[in-house]
Amino acid sequence: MEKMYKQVPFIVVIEIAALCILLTAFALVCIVISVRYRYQRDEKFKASLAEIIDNLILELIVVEEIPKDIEYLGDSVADLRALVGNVKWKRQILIEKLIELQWNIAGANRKIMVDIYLSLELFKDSLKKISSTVWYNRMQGLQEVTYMDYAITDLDILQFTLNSNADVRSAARCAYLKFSKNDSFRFLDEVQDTLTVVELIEFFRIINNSNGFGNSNFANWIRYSRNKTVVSCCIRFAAYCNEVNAIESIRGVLGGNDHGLRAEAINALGRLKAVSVEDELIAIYGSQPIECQKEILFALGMIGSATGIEFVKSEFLNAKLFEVKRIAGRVLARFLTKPKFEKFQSSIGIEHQHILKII
Amino acid sequence: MQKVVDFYQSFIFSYSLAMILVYLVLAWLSFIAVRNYIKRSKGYNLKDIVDSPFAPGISVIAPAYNEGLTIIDNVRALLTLEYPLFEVIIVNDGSTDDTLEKLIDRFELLEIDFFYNERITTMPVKRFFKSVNPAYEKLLVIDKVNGKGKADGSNVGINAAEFDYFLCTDVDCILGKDTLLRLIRPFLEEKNRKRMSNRTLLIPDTGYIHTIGNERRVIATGAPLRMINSSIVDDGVITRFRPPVKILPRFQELEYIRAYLFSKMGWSAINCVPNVSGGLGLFDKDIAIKVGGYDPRSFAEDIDMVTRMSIYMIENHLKYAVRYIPNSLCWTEGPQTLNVFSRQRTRWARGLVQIIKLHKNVLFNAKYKRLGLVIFPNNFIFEFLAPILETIGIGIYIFLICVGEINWNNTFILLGFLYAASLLFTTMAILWDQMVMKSYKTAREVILMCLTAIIEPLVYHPLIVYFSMRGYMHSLFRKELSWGNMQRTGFAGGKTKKDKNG
Repeated sequence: MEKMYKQVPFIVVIEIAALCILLTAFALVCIVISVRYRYQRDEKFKASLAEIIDNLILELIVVEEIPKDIEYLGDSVADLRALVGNVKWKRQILIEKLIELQWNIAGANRKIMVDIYLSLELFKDSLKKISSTVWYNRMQGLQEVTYMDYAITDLDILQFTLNSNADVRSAARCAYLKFSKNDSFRFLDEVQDTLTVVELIEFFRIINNSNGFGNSNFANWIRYSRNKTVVSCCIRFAAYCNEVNAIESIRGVLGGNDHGLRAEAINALGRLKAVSVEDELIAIYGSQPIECQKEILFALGMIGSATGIEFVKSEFLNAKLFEVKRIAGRVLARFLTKPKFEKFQSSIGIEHQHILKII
Repeated sequence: MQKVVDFYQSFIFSYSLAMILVYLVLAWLSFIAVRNYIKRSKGYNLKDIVDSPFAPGISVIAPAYNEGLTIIDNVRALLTLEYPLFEVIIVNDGSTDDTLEKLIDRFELLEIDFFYNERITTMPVKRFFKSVNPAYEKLLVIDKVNGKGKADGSNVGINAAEFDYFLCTDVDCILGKDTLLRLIRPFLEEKNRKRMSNRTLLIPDTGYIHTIGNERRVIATGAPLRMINSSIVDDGVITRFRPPVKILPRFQELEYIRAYLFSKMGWSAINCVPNVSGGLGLFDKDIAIKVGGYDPRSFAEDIDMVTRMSIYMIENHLKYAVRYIPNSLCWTEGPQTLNVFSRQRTRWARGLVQIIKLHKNVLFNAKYKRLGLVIFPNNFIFEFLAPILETIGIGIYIFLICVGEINWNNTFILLGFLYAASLLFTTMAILWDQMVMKSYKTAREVILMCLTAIIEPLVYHPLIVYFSMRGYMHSLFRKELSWGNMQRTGFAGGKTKKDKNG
């Protein structure tokens, strides 16, 4: 047998390889057909699902007050239950449909989606995914419970915030922020990778859609965290939650080498209306890159004190860079009251009036 | 003589095998990348950005030259993109038809004073227009002197852009509604997957200690372009997308599916993307300006700019990434005649020669890391040399036939092997496309595309080789290049009728 293989000419090997390749190509075409078939099957199912869900929501949405007990759904979900049964792919499509609908319905009526999710025990599918060993199942499961307000314990979530997969970590952080009763931002202690803008966007979405959070001391993280992205995130949280205690911590960031972080800190100080920092901002203005100068001008506008506005006016009139004049002009247009702005406009030269027109 | 022929045959076989191995690796990488993208990108995830105040602004730049036939529909389509903060900048590049007049009339434009900061030198800009109608407040139209190509118009748009990111597209392309939402995501979610380093930085006077970040900056993202020939378009919106009926754009559609979903997705997985297409690309404005924007002298200005941006990042010791996403977001009209097609491919070939000559110091230079050791060598060995080696190979085969030395059996088996490999990779690419989005309405259309792959290596590929060689010859003899006129048929009325007749 061994001799036979050794005597086979190379060209025959090529021939066999070509044949295998053709067979693989044929198999792939079969897979393409199967993918199309599944897609068409899913689309048909989605169409029938959409009809039932739309009728259900319309029926319930006119109810003035949605009861706390999910029993109010009653027979309304019987059709849905009959449609999805225990078929995994059908239940998955239903979960995704409910999540999509949530985005488009505001207020208390969102509860209808959550109640359907609970009534049909779709949370079991999500929990099963969370306990899967495959990363995208875990990520998907965590996202589903987060979007559908199905609370799971802090302990169950915390283990995932240290997962080796970045997407699972992100999903776990959002879930922790949503469901933790004690310290919603505790996961920031363990963050050892970079927090991205997408994560920040998700955190803020959760904060905006939730009713109150436990008090968190962002000042602490701004002061002590070694992770620059955590510091950046906390600076924005502090500004959003109006945590004036964080002003001193944010002030410390002004001395750093990172222009981007410094610009964020300046922006936050403006939003917090930190009058105590105003003189410092004016003092460092001259030595800053243009990115930070813009933020200082905006911060002074937001703080709105007489000194700050006078400084902005002076920059508008005397700055050498047109870009700075433009930003200063925008700050004045945005933060001065109409009578004051018009008074200023009438007191300046034609060239500066022209600039105010085109900014 | 026999030794020379034997040597060349062995060399060609080894070269082909190497190319197939590279494609196999790309197949694996692209499959992982496409699968991971599908898992991460559920539709509802995109909505986060729509409502967020953190969504960065994007300037959509579209230079226009003699686009009177389709300009209104296309601008309307651009203005209805789904994104919270963007502007649309149409640069009228010295059109000789009624492009500007149509824009002024339809969108109620008025000439304005505009703060134009010429950070990249361009041909003179004449006028700026904004609409008096609040419905079109996002639109800015710039009229300028013709710059003899798209690059100059794009640079004007970059100079005028308000936001930190700009999307460069052709005004005759149709973009998907969620184009900006999808393209911006790689910029916002890029992170170094490793844990942060232990290197720390002490901030003087405050005692703060920050870990030195290892984050990567995404400088460009791209997505697949598709052929819109034979599709039904209503008011700038594709209502029915189907594969082109005519054979030439159909071959191009296959080629694009393979190039984007197979090749570029594979390279994106290991951060080795060679270029972002000029038809659709989202760029970091700051870096683009620092490298001088698009070069009007280049025949492949898109590859050239991305290469210069990459070189800039490497030379300044900044981590960067160029990413691709597999969703088809842009549809364009492909050349329908051989004449126009030949001009396009000849220009692309010249562009490749130009890039390699211009940046020859990058090739095989370890200082430029992936750019010098992976991207450029791949472009040089498997893109630039391939048509040359194929042409020489054909010549040798003809010689062997003439002298009666050819082994027909071996020849057919070898060619069959290469043909089978080509068929396999094209079928894979079609499968990846179906996994990501079911672009065509019926399974029949998908099967027809698979069947087109059977004749593509026999008909289309030789054309590509011929026009590439032509481009190289023109480059060698420094023949003057003209962009020519694309001869678009447009999307309105007539096209709908044609499609109704099949």
